[in-house]
Amino acid sequence: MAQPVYEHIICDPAKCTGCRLCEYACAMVKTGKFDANLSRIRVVRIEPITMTAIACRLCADAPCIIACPRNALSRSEKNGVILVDQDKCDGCGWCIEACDFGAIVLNPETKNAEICDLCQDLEGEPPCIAYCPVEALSLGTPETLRQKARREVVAKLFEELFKE
Amino acid sequence: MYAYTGRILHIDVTNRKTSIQRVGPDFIKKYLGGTGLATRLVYDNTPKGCDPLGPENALCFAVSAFAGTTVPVGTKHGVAAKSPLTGFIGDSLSGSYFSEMMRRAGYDGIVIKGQAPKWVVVFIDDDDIQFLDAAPYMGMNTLETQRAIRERLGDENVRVSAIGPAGERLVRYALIDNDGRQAGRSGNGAVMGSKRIKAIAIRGSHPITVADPKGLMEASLRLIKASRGPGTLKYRTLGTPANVLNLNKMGLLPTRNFQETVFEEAEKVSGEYLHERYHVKSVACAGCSIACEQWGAVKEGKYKGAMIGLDYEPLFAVGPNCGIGDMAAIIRLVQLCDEYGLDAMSTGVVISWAMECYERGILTKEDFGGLEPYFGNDDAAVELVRRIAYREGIGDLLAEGVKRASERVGKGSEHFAMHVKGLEMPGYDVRSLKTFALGIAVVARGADHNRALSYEVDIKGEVDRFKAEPGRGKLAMEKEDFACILDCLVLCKFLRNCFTDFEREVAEIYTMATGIPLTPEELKQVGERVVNLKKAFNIREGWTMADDWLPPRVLEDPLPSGPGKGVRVTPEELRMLIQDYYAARGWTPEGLIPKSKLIALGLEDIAEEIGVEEPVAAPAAGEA
Amino acid sequence: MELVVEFFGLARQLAQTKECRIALDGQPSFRQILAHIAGQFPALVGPVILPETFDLVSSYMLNLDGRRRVTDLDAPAAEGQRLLLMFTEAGG
Ligand code: SF4
Ligand code: SF4
Repeated sequence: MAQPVYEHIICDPAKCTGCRLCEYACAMVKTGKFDANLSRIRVVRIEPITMTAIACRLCADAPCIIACPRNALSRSEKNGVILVDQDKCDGCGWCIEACDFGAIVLNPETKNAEICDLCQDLEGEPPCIAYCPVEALSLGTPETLRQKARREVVAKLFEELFKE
Repeated sequence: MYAYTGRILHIDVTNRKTSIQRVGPDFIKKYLGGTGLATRLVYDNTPKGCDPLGPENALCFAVSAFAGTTVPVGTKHGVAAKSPLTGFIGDSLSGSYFSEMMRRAGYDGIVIKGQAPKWVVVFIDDDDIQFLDAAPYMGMNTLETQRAIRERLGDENVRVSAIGPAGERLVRYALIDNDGRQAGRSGNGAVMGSKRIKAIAIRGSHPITVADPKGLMEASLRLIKASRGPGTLKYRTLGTPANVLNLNKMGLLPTRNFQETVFEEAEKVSGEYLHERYHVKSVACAGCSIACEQWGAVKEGKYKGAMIGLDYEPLFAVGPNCGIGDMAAIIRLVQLCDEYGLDAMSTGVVISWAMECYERGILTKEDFGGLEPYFGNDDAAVELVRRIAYREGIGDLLAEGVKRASERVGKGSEHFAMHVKGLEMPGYDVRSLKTFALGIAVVARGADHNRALSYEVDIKGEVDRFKAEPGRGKLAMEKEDFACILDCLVLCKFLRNCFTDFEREVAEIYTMATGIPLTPEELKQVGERVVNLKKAFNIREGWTMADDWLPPRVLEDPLPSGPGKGVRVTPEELRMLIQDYYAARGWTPEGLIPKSKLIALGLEDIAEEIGVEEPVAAPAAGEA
Repeated sequence: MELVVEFFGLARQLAQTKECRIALDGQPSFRQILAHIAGQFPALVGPVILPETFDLVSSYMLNLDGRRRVTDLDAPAAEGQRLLLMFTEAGG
């Protein structure tokens, strides 16, 4: 059976300016404080000009779910986000090790793993997208990404063809 | 307290003693943060007449009320000390995650005094202050130092403020770099070097809480949206290099050490050209929604591989002002300045002075150790930057800044030493900007566009820029106070046109963040208070009226060409403008501050120290 | 009469030229000149020149010969002038 493919937060590194407003916004919405370490989206800035933001990618066959020794993680059937069972999770951090993207946060206060849930309980856009000043963030799937990349490359080809 | 921590960290690097000073909302509210709080800390912690490069000078950091929050372009901090260039207040600003980390480590301000017996890295890890051996990092450039320290401490979250080789050698206009952003002007890197501090690393674990999270989040979003509007269009399209062609067309672009103001090769060093040929990416400071910094990379030729985020001021200084019309060379020169830890503005103006000395035969090829630094010689400029950073040969003289260098060389070179109070001039020829000419003559930090800001009224055509007339004093004062508010908050100047009712909106946001009630009137008064505070510091350090003056070239040499041909600022004009300004400020005709003024501004202790008795006004003739 | 309009910043990017020479009959006002440019370079309409009124957006100004800002768009332009279409925002 084909794996369902879920939408997740995607960052366009060509647009991202590295401002980290998405982190501040996510942390505030999720924890009530400004603490970028608790943000579920993190900005990687490899100085000076390479930067992008990373949140949970809702991988098919999510390694974090497999890694959790206490079966605290599961996938939402509705939208595919990784759900954390607060009672089962004891903050051991196996999921963090398993995640290739460093997208899971361990909150020292709650002693729970915390993962991007796409803020679907909120009205409107997820805060990270709303606060990104340059529209670098969007919701998408690998397929929409591929389509976008193909469109862009063709547009560029044509541009170059007609330039001369 | 919200947002603020109410704690100032004092560090004495001589004996490695630290202490915490508690401050309350009443104190903080008077200075807000940034350059305001940093200046107050300098005032309180330096003894009168101290040597700027001696252990008694206090190097002070103060954070923005908005650091680490969603309030756009508020993640900044101020750095201040007694300036080794001017001997007066030297306050600069920087925006980076260093600011956020300062707050999260639990400090509104940091005061550093003393002189370490051996070079150190000060590592502030929340309440734990460590002094690490700096030996492994000595000689490294600014960015290498930061990277190496992060690696050694094994944590990407550690943010570092570092000096480069120039700061190690006490070049008087050395800067402090953090994350490639700089506290650039007035030589705070030399002050740090004089304390034998190679870097300050900081890590904070405390979250930042605000008084009204919901209100602040909404206000932030509004501001982020506004900051993408017409008020910032220039900064978002071409960044500040857009100035090159505009100023060139208006005859304001300093060329060949301010001898001319129209540069024949301006197109090739313009923001437009940079964008077309070199632009790789627009990058933001911490928490900034505008992203004005335009990164350019050189892909071929002798400067292949050079890359830097280019702003107008460094560009003008090492480019047109040195007669250099090659964008690749400019990118390389600014990159070198950043890496060595030199203020590129001062560096450019010092080199242009040296070039003019060479062309006029005042300094010879021999003096330059075999170099022939005629205007436009980019190879010589590159080598001079290096010699300045390492104080090699003539570099040792040039490292002193254009004021001291010209006094030492003499032979008429003082005539074209372009500085005010010892700080090198920014990239606007003031001869045909009469309001700005005044602003730059009187501002406490010396020749500085960011503190004066009055170029705006001249260039935007709100007044006739060729005319000196009464009323400009008030205008210059208002612009200076406004700039000061932004520098204290801290909010970036480029956000200045994104408000409809600045004082009201900002006072509201301030209260949402800090929980401290602040009226628009109180906010406005902060600007005036801190400008007076800076002036008071200068008076205490021996300021006289002669310090509020302009370089001879501006006063004596009429512009040779361009739309302002034949124009200069006459001494009579300048005297009139200065008196107009002092009067607007409520200062005495000698430029001193009456006690009553200082008391009205809530600076009672300073009134005692430097305030003068109000002159008794002579009754006007015919008065009943 | 003839005059020259120069483009800077975004205006140059959109018009894809550095300057253009304009010849108009009679004594056109600056606004009429802007209308003329809007016709010639439709890309400017919206981001730089407002449609219908032919006002400039707040981030742009018209500078006359590098000497002064045009404050009254309805004033007449003169033969041989250089009109500079540049960002209003001064400074860095
Ligand atoms: S969708 Fe919500 S949880 Fe996920 S990164 Fe964005 S703000 Fe954070
Ligand atoms: S808010 Fe947008 S531009 Fe800023 S760091 Fe996040 S993704 Fe990048």
